[in-house]
Amino acid sequence: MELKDDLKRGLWDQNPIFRLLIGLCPTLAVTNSVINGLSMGLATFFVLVSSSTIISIIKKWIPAQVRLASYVVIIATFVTMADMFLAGNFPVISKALGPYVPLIVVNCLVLGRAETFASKNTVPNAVADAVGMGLGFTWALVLLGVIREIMGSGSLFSIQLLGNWFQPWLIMVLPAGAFFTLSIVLGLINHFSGKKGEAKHQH
Amino acid sequence: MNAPRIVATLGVIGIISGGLLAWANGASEPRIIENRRRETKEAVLSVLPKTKTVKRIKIDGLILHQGKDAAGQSTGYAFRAVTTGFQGDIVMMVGIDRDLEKFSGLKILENIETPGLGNRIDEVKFTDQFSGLNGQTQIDLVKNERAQKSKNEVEAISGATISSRSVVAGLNKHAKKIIQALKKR
Repeated sequence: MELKDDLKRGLWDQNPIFRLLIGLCPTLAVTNSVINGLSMGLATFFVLVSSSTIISIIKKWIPAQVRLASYVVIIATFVTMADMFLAGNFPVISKALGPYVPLIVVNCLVLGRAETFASKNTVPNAVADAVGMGLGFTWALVLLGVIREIMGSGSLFSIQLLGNWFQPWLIMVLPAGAFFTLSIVLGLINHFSGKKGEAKHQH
Repeated sequence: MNAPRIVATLGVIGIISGGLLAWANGASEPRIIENRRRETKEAVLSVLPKTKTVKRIKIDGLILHQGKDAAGQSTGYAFRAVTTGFQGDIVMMVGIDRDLEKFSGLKILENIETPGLGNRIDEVKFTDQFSGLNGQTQIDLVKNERAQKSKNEVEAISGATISSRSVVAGLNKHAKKIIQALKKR
């Protein structure tokens, strides 16, 4: 059964952040705390799964010339709904994420999965792929958020973990900290999984 | 090429999307407005001590919030002020006592100042300094020395002079206008 493979792909082998390196703008911008990373991940998850499902269902009726335009409208609809939902129910999170929720529309991950996968595969496969990719994106954002919040604020989910002896590394919650964290995590993952060597052979 | 089909496809998708969005908007808008109203009320309560009820009033095109205590006595006025900070707008709620003489409180509602430096303007240690200051005259910002209340001074946050100065400047600018408008009434 391929479904399991489609589901698993996004979690590790083709993880959007750590493997494919797509959708990095929101990743770098909002992961200064765990809750922001988690909310962004879940919002993207919702958009990805909904739009992949719909696109996979209606793929055969969409003329090739306007497929991208159609995908963007469908994605934008779900993004706007997610944005309204957050603003209505979680105003604090909505404020913290700012423009990055509406910007999910242009997240390469969402459009990328629609174009390369959902538009070419059956509905169950497309859903499995979107769920895997969405979860892969979410856990990556949460991991970055955990590292940056602990080091930058000494807390986790806004609960103070480290005592007064700890001087927070401010830079970790600033944009520069996002680059440091992502690159170090990426480096470690590549080092331990030996992918870097494989990549070299392909060149 | 199949132009009619292309137009029809995009048209149908657009109509369905529009319908969905109208529904989502209808479902979430009342909540968004309610959230905004609650936020404003909480801010007003925090800058006007002893306030129980808040009423929105309009004078000379300025929007103010008048606070009343449990006995129906006025507790003062609050207004929203926007000032330009180091990186973007700083939005604050300012409270003035009912005699229009002293500030009763200040709360920073929104800011995108540098975390750990400029955004410490929303800490109570900084904002509390404004309570009790004279609203009739300029407030001065002092650096590296203790601020004296009698001289209407506020101590800047070290490392965040620009953000501190923005708050003081915004307050000086807006308070004058508001107090004048209220006095004319």
